[in-house]
Amino acid sequence: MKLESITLTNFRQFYGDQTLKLARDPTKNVTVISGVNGAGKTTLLAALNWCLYQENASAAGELVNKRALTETPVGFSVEAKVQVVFSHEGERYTVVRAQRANRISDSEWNREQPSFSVSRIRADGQFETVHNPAGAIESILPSSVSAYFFFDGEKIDKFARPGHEDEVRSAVKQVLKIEVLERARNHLAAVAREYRQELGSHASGELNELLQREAQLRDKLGTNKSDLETLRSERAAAERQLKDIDGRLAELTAVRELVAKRGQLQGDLTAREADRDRLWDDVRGIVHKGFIPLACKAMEQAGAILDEKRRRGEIPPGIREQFLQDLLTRGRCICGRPIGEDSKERRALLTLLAAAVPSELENVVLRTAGDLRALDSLCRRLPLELRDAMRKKVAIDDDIERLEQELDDLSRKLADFDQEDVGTLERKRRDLCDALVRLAGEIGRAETLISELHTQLEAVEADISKAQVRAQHAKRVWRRFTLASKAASALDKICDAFAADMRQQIREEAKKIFDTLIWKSSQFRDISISDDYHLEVLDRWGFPARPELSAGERQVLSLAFICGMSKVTGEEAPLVMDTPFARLSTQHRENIATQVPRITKQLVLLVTDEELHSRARDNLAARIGAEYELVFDQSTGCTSVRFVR
Amino acid sequence: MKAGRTERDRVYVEKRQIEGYRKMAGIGTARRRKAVGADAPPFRDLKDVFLMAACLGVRARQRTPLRDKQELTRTSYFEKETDLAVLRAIAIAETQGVQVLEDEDAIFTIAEEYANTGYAELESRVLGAGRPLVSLTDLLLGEYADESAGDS
Repeated sequence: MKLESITLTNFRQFYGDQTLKLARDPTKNVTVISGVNGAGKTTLLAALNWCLYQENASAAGELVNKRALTETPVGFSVEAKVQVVFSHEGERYTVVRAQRANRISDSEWNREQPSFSVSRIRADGQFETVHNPAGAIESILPSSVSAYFFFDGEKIDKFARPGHEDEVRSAVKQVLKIEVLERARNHLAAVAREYRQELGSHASGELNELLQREAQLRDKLGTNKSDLETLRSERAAAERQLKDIDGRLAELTAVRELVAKRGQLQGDLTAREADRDRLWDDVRGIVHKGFIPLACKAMEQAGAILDEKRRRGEIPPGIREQFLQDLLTRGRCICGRPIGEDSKERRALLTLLAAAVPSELENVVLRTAGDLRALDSLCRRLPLELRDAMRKKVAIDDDIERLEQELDDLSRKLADFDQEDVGTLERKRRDLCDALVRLAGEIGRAETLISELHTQLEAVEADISKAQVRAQHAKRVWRRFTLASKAASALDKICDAFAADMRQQIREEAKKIFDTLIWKSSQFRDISISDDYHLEVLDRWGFPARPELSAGERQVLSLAFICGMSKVTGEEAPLVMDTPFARLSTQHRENIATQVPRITKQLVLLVTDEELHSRARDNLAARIGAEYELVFDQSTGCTSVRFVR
Repeated sequence: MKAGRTERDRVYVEKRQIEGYRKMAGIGTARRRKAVGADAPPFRDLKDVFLMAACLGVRARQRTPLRDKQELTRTSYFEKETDLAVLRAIAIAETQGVQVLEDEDAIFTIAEEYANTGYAELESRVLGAGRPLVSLTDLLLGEYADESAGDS
């Protein structure tokens, strides 16, 4: 940044337009602005800060020049404005901040919010308005950094005062943009912490447990399936043996009749059992609609409500809503008579329409009424059907019981038969029948168990695939966590190394500058900036000498530090110093006047007439590119800028 | 003048009841589906279990609002002439008016709250039984007997 001009318009004691063009020539880079105490030097510095950063100006009272305020007639307005023109990296910026005051009575002014605009002429000559003006200024010279370039010389010794470490630390970090690195490091560390927490929420070993459970279930399933196979082959064997025995019994002439009878009874039993199954299917069909009779009372009540509506003529309505609406839209009756806009016929139609049931509701009501009538018969029929089915079931059960009894009797007869092999065969047969009943139960239980195992297995498999997704996610999170932690710790090291390097460079530059500025340079051997940003001067014997420095020497040390910093950072910003020499002895003034213009690219000095005289002025003379005097007119109470050379 | 028709495309029950509904409708295991005769599951569809539960709730004259609900089935599976007609009748009787017919959401909410009550009876009398179809038949015969006793 190189300042070109500052124009103050009715800003505080500066009346009308007052412009200062600042020296920019590399060999004549100093602008001297002199004025007695109270002429407006500090106001000029404040104007610069207000224009660029809206800082500090309103705290000092009225912004708009009081003479301009009083000269403005009621109903008119006046503006306090500061315009700063500067160049930066080949582009020319015009920054304007203004506050308008509207006079609403003799003694009252209404002040608007300050306006702020930045425009620039780009290197290619193109003019443009900057849409984010505050952001643009911040990126050129951040407000936190500007304090180290635009400053009040009398207060500058803060870097060398006791307890200065925080000032030095924040100056180094802000000016050298170390904060950017630190922010990146802190951000990465925070990200790493978040990933760490996320990893904590992924229960480790979850997938392994599930896989173990799956394996156990599969083992169990395998065992049960092979058990089932064994049971089924046992059953098949028993059935074969039974068939074999039946065959052998059938061949025995003595019991042929009994065996035939058994065949017949068994056929009857099977048929009745099938009847029973069919009956239960029918029952299921009835039960399926069995809820309808349960709602019988509710349906009766609903039916009564619908009947009542019908009785009162609401449903179906005497005249349908749609018909009424059609008549109103057409404006003509079906008999051909017109229905006038404000006729009594029209009013009558509107009354009917208001009482009409919406046609959609009407349809649902009619449909429901019809449905309920149809359901009414089901209400009565279904309980009868169910009771009838139960009566049939009792009959079938009786038949089955009787047939089983007869078969049992027949079996006992055969078992007790005189002929020995018949008895043996029949007893064996009964054992087989018992075994078949037992096997049927066991097979049923095994099938149920297998089916349940399948269900459990499906659930575990679903859990496994979810856990696998989670595990993959955890793996990704772990990689990100590692990356963020490593990056944060790398940045941490970079930060430290960079800061140490910068401290060293600033120290070296500040030392060189300090040597040229301080008159008793042989008294001081070195400057140091410790790890904790402690700025120290070592005397010729190597002892810390900072506490012994005079106020003027502290100011010189601070200036050396600022200039050193400015040099190291390469930040191209002008030094604007307000009353820098007030506390300094002649020798220091002369040294600063000689050295600082060489160190900085552009220097603006706001000085009192006494501050800069004799040798100091002579030393500076060759570098002065512009000189102004702030002239305070006691008769008007206003300051004007006088161009000196 | 009149509120627009509200519609409903899902039916809800308490989350903890879902498995019981599925068992009674024979959904879940192959064995349940294949069972025949008296061993067959008592219902064919989830909506049939729901209708039975709702009507049992109406018989008990108690609505229980749902607390932790989950979707059971879609309203499109309900038959218009029977299932929906019964639910509409219950809603008309409940509200003592026909305006509710324009509000499908209200009709199903009333049914859900009755079903929430009625489910408890199905759970204790039918779900836990060895042969649920036989138990349900007994339950219905008892209810029908009460109904005719109440009439007389």
